[in-house]
Formats: sequence, C-alpha cells, structure tokens
Amino acid sequence: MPTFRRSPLPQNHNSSNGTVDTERKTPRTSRNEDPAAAKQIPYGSNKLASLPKPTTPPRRASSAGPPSQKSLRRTPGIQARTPGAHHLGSTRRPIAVTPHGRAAIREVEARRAGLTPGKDRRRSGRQQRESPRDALRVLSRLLAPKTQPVIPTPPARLVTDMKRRKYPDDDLDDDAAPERPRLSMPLEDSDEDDSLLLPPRSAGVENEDYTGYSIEIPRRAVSEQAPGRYSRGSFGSVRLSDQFANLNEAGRGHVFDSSFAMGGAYDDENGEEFMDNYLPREDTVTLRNLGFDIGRQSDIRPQVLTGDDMEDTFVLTVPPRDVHDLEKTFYSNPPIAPNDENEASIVEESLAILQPMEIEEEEEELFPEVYDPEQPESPAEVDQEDMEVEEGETTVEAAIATHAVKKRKKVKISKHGIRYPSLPAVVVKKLATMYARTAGNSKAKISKDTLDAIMQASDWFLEQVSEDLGAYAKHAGRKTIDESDMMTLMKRQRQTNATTTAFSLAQRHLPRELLQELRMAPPPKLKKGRRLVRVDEEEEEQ
Amino acid sequence: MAANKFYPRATVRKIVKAHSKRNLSKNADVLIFLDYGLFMNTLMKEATINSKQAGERGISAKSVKKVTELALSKFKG
Repeated sequence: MPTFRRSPLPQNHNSSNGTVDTERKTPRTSRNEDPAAAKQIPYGSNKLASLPKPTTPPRRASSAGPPSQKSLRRTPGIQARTPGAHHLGSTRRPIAVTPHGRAAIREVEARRAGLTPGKDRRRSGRQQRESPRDALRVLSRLLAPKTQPVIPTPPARLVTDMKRRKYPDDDLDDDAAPERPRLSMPLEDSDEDDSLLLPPRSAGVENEDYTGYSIEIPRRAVSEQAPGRYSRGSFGSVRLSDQFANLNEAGRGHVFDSSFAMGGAYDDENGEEFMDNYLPREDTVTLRNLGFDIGRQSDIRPQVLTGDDMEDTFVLTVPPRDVHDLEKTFYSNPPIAPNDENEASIVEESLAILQPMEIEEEEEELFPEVYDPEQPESPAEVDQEDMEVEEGETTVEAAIATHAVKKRKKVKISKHGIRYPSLPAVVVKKLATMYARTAGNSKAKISKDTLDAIMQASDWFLEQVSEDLGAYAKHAGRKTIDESDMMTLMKRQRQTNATTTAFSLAQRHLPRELLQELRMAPPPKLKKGRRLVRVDEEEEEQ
Repeated sequence: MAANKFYPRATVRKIVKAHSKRNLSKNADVLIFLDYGLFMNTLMKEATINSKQAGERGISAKSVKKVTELALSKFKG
C-alpha cells in the first residue's frame, strides 16, 4: 500500500495496465474505496501490488544508491509532488534537505562503509609506533644488553667523608680536592648512597617560623577603607561592625574619631597599626563641626559585609537603665555639644539602638549598666534605653533592670540632633514580603535578620531621600519640602520619565486610599497639565 | 484604618523632617512613601536575584546587605 501512495504518476500504471478506463482511479482513491470494489477486479489489485517497480524507477534508484544526494537532486519534482513520501516510503533513509542533514547522512554511510576516522589508527597501531615513548623503548632495547650496573662508591671514601665531617675545624686547604659529585644514581645498595645524596633543601627562609607573620596580610587601600568617612553626617550610617572593635578592646575608642572608629574589621595587629598610621584622627570631626558644607552630606553607605563574621562574636555590654537617672542626666547636661567625645558617644548610642532587638530583649538583665551621662534623652521616649559608650566617659551603674523584656520604641537621632523613629517593622515586613513576592520569591519568608537588614536599608534610604529633598527645597529657597521636590527627586532617580509619571507608579504601588490623597493634591498635577497645555497652545498657534 | 496600618504617615513625616530639618507640604509624604515603595521593590528584587545566585532558599540578610548599596545608589537624587 505505501507504494501506491508514493507513486507520483498514477496515470502511468493505469495506462500500462490496460484496464485503465474502467477503473479510472488513482491509488489513493482505490485505497479509500470499499473492499467490494477492489474485489470486483481481482487481477487489477494484483497488478497494483506489483506496480511500483516499473512506475517509480528514479525513486528506487535514488534509494538504492549509496550517497543519495545526487539522485535526490535528480528527482526534485517527485519530491515536491509527494512531500510526505518519505514518511511512508520504502526508502529507509530520510530525505535530507538541509546541508547539515546531508552531511549527517554522508557521515552515517561512511561509517557503515567502515570509513571511521580512527579506523586506521586502531588497525595498524601506527600511532603507538610513532610516539616518543616508543622511540625510547626501542633505544632501551638496544642499550639494555650493553649496560652494566653502576659500581657504588667504595665505603672507604665514605669513612673519610665522615671524618671530615667530624672535624670541621680543619682548614679547607688541608683537605683534598672536594669529591666529585656523582651525576648518576646507582641501581643497587641505596642505603649507603643516602648519605651522599643530600635531600633537597629549600631556602632557609621557609624553615623558619616567622614566615607566617611576614606574609602580608591583605589590607585595604585607604580609599576603600571606610566609605563615607569624611562627610557622613548621620548616625544611621555607622557600621555595626565598627562598633564591635571598640567593645572588644575597650579604651581604644577614644583614640579614633567616631566617624571612622572601625577597627573591628581588623583584628590583627597589622590592621590596627595600619589604622593608627594612616587614618586621620580628628580632622574629620573638626571639619564637620566647623560647619563646612562639604558637598553632599548624607553619603549613606550600607553596612560593609566584612563585619558579618564579627557579628557572631559580638557581645553587647548593653545595659538597661533607669528612667529617673536619665531624667537627671538629661536635664543636667546640655544636649549635643559639638565636641568629639560627645559625638562619638552619640554615634555609639545610635548604634546600640540599631542592634538587633533580640539581643536586647534577652540579655538585658545580665549586664551591668553603662550609660552616657551626656546623652540627651527625654524620659518619655526613653523608657529603657540601651547604650554603648566609650569607656573613658562612662559611668557604670550597678542597677539591674527589673522589667527587662519589653518592647521599646527605638529612637535615633539625626544629624540635626532631632530624634526620629524608624519605620514600624510591621510595615516594612509587609512591604518587603509583597515585593519579594513580585520579585519571584513566591514563598518569601523573611527572617528576623533579613528584616533587620531591610530596616537598616530603609532607614538609610529615608535618610538619603530626605536629605536630598532638603537640599532641593533649600535650593528653591523654600522652607518646606514640596511635591515638586519629590517630583524632581523621582525624576533624578530615573523612576519617572516621559512615559511613567508618578501617578502611574502610584497606581501600581500605592493602596487606593493613598492614591486618592495623591489625586487630590493639586500642585504636581497642575504642573504636568500646564506643560501639556502649553505645548497644545503652541501647536494651535502654529 | 487600613491605610494607616499600611502607611505610617506620621512616622514618615517625622523621619524626613528630622533628616532634612524642613517641613513637609501636605502630600509630599505620600510621594515619599511611594518612592520608598519603589526602593523596596528594587531592593527585594535585587536581593532575590542575589540570594538565588548564592543558592539560598529564602532571602537572607546577607544578600540584602549586599544589594543595599546598589539599591541605594540607584535611588540617589
């Protein structure tokens, strides 16, 4: 049957049959017909069965030929007329149209014919004969019968050697000429030769122990030491890891300025020496306190990850403290005085606040109280504020917190000396989960550490943003931060552009209630509208 | 309300005011919060990518810390 379908010229065999006119059917139709019709002409069907040989010679020939390419080219018409022929065809070989397919077929056939590339090599072993190792082997066969085993050095000489070694006081002149070094190894009695052949000795440096110390321990370039050291104005950007060094080696803190008291990254001596030698100490503080407006002040940098290792070993000597004491100290001491120590202490305090909450909650009772008397804290918000202070200025109190585990409101102090809260963790977590989900992390489980990191990042972000906004407003000569400032900011952040407005973003990201408030805000809308209107007018005028 | 729970308006205003030492106009904080949302979007996206590259399952604090700088630098005004 497949031969019927394949035969491209049904008229041919019909004419050759002689019974053509009555049947008048292509093989296809005959196939589709009911068997009764076929039975009517029994010999016709027989002839049909024997048909393909005469009718499709080119096809046959092509399939029989070894590389089917030429023959395939010879019969393009057949191929075109019966595109499905090769599916059912008697030819086993698929017709390869593409050059790659043809190449593959050629390859297969070559393999069948035994023309594999490795055939010669395998059969004749030519490669092995040609290899240098074989040449050596041949050489060894030639040389083997003639070689004699090496005669070892006589033991008498050995004894003299030993003597010479026993008396090292002898002058060199007295000695005979030094023995000639042996350049070959004897085949036998290796025991005696061991004394002659000194084991390879490395350079003397390696034998000593001090190499471990003399190897330079990786250090950072000064430029990458601490980002934002000179111009950082905020306390939120102080690295947590910086703080740990001060705790570990207490008393060191007063040496460094707070803004780069980051010895924590360097435990070894080299690092500290390096810090001592190369880092400026108090210049940054004085600069800042002089009131220079050096460029961009925010310069928030995230926590450097070198501190990650430190975090485990970090022990918070963070005490809770009493509200009343705080009150006293608060009212007796002025708020922030612009000197180094004070600033450092504030930084430390802010750091203490930035620490993960769990530590504070769990271990509060365990530690003796340490707090800074100069800390400006109002009793209302402090409640129970943990602080880390440098040792030189601390007064240690022996009080122990009675109500230890308590959720505190975290308060940080901006560079302007204004206290501010951080975003509530619930909100941050909700947002983070939402956006993590959109980012493809469908089962976003945000752990506490992660949340802390995110909170830190958002604190930095808000600080950065609000400083930018303040700069914009200042530039515009305004006292308040406008929506227009915010628009400028978002434009500069490349969040809004010609196609995306703040409102389209708001529609995507803000809940409906907030969106409504934004809609009601006239100024940004007016601004946008005005620009559009102006363009229209110009067009109309033209 | 739900919006209040979602969006700590007073807190945002306080934070911005503390940092910039300037007052905020009436609805600027909404835009700030919008910007914050965009920042969080970027941050979480980057953190997800980072944690996936590191082969972590969830989002670890480490990956967040790593991408924080990147995200912050994207949102520099």
